[in-house]
Amino acid sequence: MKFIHTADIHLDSPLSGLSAARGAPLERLRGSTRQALRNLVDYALAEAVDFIVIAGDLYDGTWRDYSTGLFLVAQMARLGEAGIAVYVVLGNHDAESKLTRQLRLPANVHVFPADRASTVRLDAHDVALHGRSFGVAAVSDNVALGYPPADPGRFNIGLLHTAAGGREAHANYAPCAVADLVGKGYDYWALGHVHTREILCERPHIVFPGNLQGRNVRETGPKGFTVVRIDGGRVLSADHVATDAVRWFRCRVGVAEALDLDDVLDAVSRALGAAAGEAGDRLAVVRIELDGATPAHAAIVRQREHLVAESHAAALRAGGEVWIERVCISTRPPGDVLASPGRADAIGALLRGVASMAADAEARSALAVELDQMLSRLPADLRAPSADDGTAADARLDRVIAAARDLLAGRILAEDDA
Amino acid sequence: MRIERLSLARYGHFTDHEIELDGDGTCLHVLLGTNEAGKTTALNAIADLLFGIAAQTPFGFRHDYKDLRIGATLRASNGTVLAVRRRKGNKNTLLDEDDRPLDESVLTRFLDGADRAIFTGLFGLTHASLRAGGDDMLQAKGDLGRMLFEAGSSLAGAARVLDALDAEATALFTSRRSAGKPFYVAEDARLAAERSVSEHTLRFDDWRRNESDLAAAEGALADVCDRLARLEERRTLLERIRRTAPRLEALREVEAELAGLADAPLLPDDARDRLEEARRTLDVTRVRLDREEQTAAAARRELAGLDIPEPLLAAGDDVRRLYERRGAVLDGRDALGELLGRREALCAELRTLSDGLGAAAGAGGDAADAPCDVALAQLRRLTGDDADLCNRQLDVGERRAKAAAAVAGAEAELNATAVPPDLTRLELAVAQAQCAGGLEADLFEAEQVAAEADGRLARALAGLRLWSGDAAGLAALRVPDRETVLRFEREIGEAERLAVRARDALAAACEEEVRCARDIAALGDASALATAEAVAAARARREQGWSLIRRLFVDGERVETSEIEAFAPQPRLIERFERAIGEADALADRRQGEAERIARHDQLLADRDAAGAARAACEAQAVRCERDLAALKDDWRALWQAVGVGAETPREMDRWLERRNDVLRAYDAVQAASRRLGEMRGRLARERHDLLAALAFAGGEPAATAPFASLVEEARLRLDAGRAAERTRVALLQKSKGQIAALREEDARLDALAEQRVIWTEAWSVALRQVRLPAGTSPAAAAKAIELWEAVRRTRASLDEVERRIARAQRDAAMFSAEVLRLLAKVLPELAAAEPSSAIHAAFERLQVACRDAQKRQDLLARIAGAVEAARSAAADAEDAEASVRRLMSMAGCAGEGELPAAIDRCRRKTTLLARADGLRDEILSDADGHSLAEASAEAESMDPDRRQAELAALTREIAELFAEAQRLGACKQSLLQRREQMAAGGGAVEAEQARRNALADLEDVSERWLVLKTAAFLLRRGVEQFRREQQGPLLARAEALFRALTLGSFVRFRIDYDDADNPCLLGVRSDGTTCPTSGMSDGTRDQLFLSLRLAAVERYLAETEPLPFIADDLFVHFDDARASAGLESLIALGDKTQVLLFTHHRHLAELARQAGGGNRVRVQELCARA
Repeated sequence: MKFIHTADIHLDSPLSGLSAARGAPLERLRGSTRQALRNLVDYALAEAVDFIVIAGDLYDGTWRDYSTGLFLVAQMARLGEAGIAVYVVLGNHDAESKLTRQLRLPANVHVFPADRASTVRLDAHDVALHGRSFGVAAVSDNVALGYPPADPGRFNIGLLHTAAGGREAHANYAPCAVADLVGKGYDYWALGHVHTREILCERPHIVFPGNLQGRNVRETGPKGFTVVRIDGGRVLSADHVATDAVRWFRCRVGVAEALDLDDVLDAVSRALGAAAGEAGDRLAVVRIELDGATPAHAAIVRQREHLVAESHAAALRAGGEVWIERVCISTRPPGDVLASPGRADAIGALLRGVASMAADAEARSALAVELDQMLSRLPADLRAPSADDGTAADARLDRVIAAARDLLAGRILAEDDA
Repeated sequence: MRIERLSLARYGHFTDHEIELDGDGTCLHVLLGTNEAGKTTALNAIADLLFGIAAQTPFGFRHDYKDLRIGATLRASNGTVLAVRRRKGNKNTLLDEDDRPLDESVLTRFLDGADRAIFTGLFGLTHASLRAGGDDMLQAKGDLGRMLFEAGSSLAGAARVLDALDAEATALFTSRRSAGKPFYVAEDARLAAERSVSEHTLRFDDWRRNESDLAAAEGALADVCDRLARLEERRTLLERIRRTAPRLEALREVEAELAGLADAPLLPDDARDRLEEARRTLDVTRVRLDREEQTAAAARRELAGLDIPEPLLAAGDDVRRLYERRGAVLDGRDALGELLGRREALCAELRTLSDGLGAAAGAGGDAADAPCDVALAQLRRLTGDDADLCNRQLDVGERRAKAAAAVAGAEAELNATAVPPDLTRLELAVAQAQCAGGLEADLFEAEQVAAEADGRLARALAGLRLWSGDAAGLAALRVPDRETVLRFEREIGEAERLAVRARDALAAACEEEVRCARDIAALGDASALATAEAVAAARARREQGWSLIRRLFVDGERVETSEIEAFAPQPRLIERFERAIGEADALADRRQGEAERIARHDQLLADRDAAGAARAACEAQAVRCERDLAALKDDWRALWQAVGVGAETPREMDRWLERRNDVLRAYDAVQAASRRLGEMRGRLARERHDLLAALAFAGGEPAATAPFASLVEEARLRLDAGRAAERTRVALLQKSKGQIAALREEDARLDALAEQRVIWTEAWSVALRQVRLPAGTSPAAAAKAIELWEAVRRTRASLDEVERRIARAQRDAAMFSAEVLRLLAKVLPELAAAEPSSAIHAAFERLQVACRDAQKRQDLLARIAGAVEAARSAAADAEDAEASVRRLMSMAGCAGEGELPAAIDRCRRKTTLLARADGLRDEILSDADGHSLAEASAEAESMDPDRRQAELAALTREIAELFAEAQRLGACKQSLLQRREQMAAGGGAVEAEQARRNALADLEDVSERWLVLKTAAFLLRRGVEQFRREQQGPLLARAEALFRALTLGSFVRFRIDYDDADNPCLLGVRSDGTTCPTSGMSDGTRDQLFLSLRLAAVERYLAETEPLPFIADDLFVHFDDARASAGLESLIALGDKTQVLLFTHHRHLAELARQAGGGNRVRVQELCARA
């Protein structure tokens, strides 16, 4: 017997952080979450899996386009025609979503109720499935404790949308400890909510399969589902199968040895080639992070736009379909001209000024006023941290000052080299 | 640090080259070298020695990278000496004299933290960077902060960086909306995408409505389709009968007629055509036979009438050839006349030329008598030389006259110029005065500085809390040192933290204790629990019962009644024992079942005890912490009571100490300014006295009360006027000498030309003799004779050509006549007596007539043969036609040809009827929709035709109406399906949302870049301003003195003004009191301003750190000599503070440096890479 465990489909969720101004390949980006789900269904049909479990978050909570639900119905119907049943618990996003209430799913899809944990028994496979959906978005109880005891003589699977012990960048919903889950005596816990694949335990298996499609640069690497093979009531394997149509990469490119811009571009080309090779036929979306104390720093700063344009050109030559999400520059000059604030010349005075900014409330306030002419124009999605969140605003100011200091070092050096 | 010796062992062009830079008292080393002597190489070598050779060095062109070596002996200001070498490489590149690696840190005390940027930027100044600095000051528009920052930093272009940052930020975003700026482009895209998302989102209600409409349309369509099917079935039956009934009737009629033609013969389908064709063929062949016989007879008659001359035809080619030559012979005859006339004309021309030459012509003007080509060429060359000589003699004569006039003029001008007086004493006086220049401005500045220092001290003192005394009293206080204050701050802070932590721990422990108690209470009555004690007690009771029973009934012991009664009344012992067993088992079972609850109870009891103990410990700890904190605060207050200042928190008191230090620094500044003011006043009085005495000695009458700067200016003007007069007289003397030399050169050229004329005359006589011209012939006459000899030669050649052509024409005419006569005698003797050209013309015409007759004879013979062949063919066709008619008669069984047409008609009718019957049967079967002929016939007979027609019409109408309805419903369904498909595919909301996210990414990118750019500009601007605030006073005071010296007193001081944005700007104040902004200064003056600021900045740097050598490269290119001397003096003055090297290729600069330095303060040495 084999079944598919997936979660966090976030159907029709857009990909973030891609610049329209630089001509991102929208044709390839749009519908990538749909393609990922289609790939899963294709796999299920080709491999004739016995059933599928989905551990929550089929859609984005705030998304209201009914065609998203229709697409889901169409894919579930394909599975239904092949006699493949699907068992679903709703996650925090689904609970928030209007689509959940409006959509009528095909008969082969079973959604676990939200009022209590319940069990579905598959006599043909000697399997018992236990699950409970989210009724509201923010579930703070340890709902795992309320799951029914294992059915003796059957292979018991628990479906649960949870942050487990808490994960960075994920709201800590339905918290529970691994011990809570192990204590239930189930054979497999199909978890959802955390977007990174993670196996918390083996025998019993407690698995986050990750999401089907990475949607931003924080969700890098292969994304897909877990196919679980069972024999004699034991898990033989729990393998990852990639479904992503677009793959995200963060390439940290150390350029300490680079003497000039050509060397930097060579290093970038190598990183892009590696990403293209790893992505295969998919579109690779890459963030390049240039790092290191390098003699090429001045050239990098002086010719930043040229470097970015050449990096995009290198992406075209990388051997696959590669798109650069952003080029982040964190390089430094080798003998940092701004590294010795005690020096006696004017640069020393400048350094002391920059260093004193951190503690100079008057200067910070003056800078904040100057920057506010832009910040106040930003839309709400970008305006965070909010105006009344002083700590976060301070942190942003610190980050901007640090970046400005690096920029200044590069510009002054570049001017000196020119 | 000074460089005592620089060794260019293997570097650039240099090999084993040593430059000595030591020398006590030497303030300026001038390294003089021509272009490519290696100045740049030596200059770079110093930086490479101190900081390492770059990976891509351009100085490895002669020696391999691995062999590059630079060495030096360095002396630090404390006298330490270090000899090092530098090789190229990645590590261990610093070596000692034996090439053993040295740690880079050995250079630390010599460099004192300076890096390559500081060394090359601040301590290196080239002509180009000086000019760039001047240009940057122009760009800064006098902005004092930027100017000081540029001059005072090792890196140039701060102003450019600031402008670029501002420009880039503005290009991204401005508060005022601008559609083209990236921020607004992205924002507009985001808003558009948001609208698009809203427009294209598919709503559930829309979907549900569409589904409902679709179901209704599908139901109605199915109903209409059912009704249509039933009507179509009936209509098909009626239509079939309508189609088959008429054909069935026709079939019956055909079959009746066929029965009457049963005996008709069967002939080929084309029997009638064959008969008619045979008859037509017989008629035509008869006509053809008659026509061909007549044609043959007529041709034979015409052939008999022809007469053809055969001999003429045989000689046809010869006649044609001679006729073709006839034209050329006639043309030659006409040309002969012209040639004879031409010969006469040429002979006459030859005679005329001979007459022109006269005796020189020789015998009869024959070309052979002309002089040879060599003699004529010599004569021609000499004619040319004559003209050239004449022109040159004229030119030289004119130039000599002009030179003589110029010599006379220069002598007159020199005599009119007066001899200048001796200026030595005045010069010395001015030099001394200039050295002391700027003293008044310095005094003014010092007064300002003192006033400002007083003001600062008063403000600082007023701003200092906790002190109401004066600065001296404040200075006298014995305050705790900062370390003590910081220690108290640390300790009190730590004690406070510990106290807070202890209080928190105490609260947490209390809370935990309460929680445990609450949980124990919530768990219920402890006595009801099957605790381990309860189970043990039940089991003990059970064992007690068993022991009594065993002793009573098994062992037969006697047991005291009281003991039994204690367990149970006698008659109930067994029953009570069984109950005890049951109770013990039940308690044990309950304990099993309540294990978790019991364990929880036990745990809670243990937790409560532990929490109680922890609370007690925390209470003790909190008391200790509070006590420690109070003790520390007491110590702190006692510390400040001894000083006499009220104590606040250590942090506050640390700030108070900092402010006290600010007050004390201001107090020190006041005292220093006061001392400097006194010194300045005394020095000015001395300098003024000396200058007045010097001017009086020089013949001037200075006002004793005039400002010091005016006195200096007056002396300088006197000195400048005297120097100008001296320079003018020297220039006039040099000019006069040059003009006399030019006059002598012209005389020498005239003599040389006269000698050349004598040589020419001799050569001319010889040449005339060789061409037989008289001895006195002029060059013009000789040239004419040369022309005539050449004309004679050309005419003679033309005459020879005419003679040859006449002879050829006469020979061609004779040969033609002879050939014509021979031919005609053979074929046409009657024409032999005629003129040959006319005779051959007549023979040609007769030949053409004979040829036409011969062709005609050929045509007639062919026509006769054709007619005979045609007649034979017509006879054969007639025979075939008769055979065909006979075959038809035989097939039809006719006795004669006349019966044939009737037989053919009967046969054709029978065939037609048979085919018609077959066709009707096929049509009926085809229309019968699969029914047989008999079934179709039965159907047709079953219905009355009139009723059938009426029913069909009604059916057709009803079907048409239903069909229209079905079409309408189908279109409606299709439209709803299409809409459903579009909805399911998504209406573009997903794409719009993706576009919105992309626009957000752009906005984030733009805003991030703008924030960083804006912040960088903010930091730089503040840095520049802070540097100005810190350095303005001391830097400007020193730079002002330097600028005054470098401009030779043209500018006496600086003034600070404020622009429209209240930014301080620097103005130069001239000696007459007028001001000049940097934009109004000449390029050279701006260079001098930048040099002043830079030298002042270098001196400031030197005052705080280990001195580094100052290296100047061709600085004074745009300085006049006087200002260059002043610049060199500034460098010499700097040489008192640090080593100064000047690289130059201008020898006069080296000379000026020597003069400026005097004695051994300046050392000049030549540099040569090839050495």
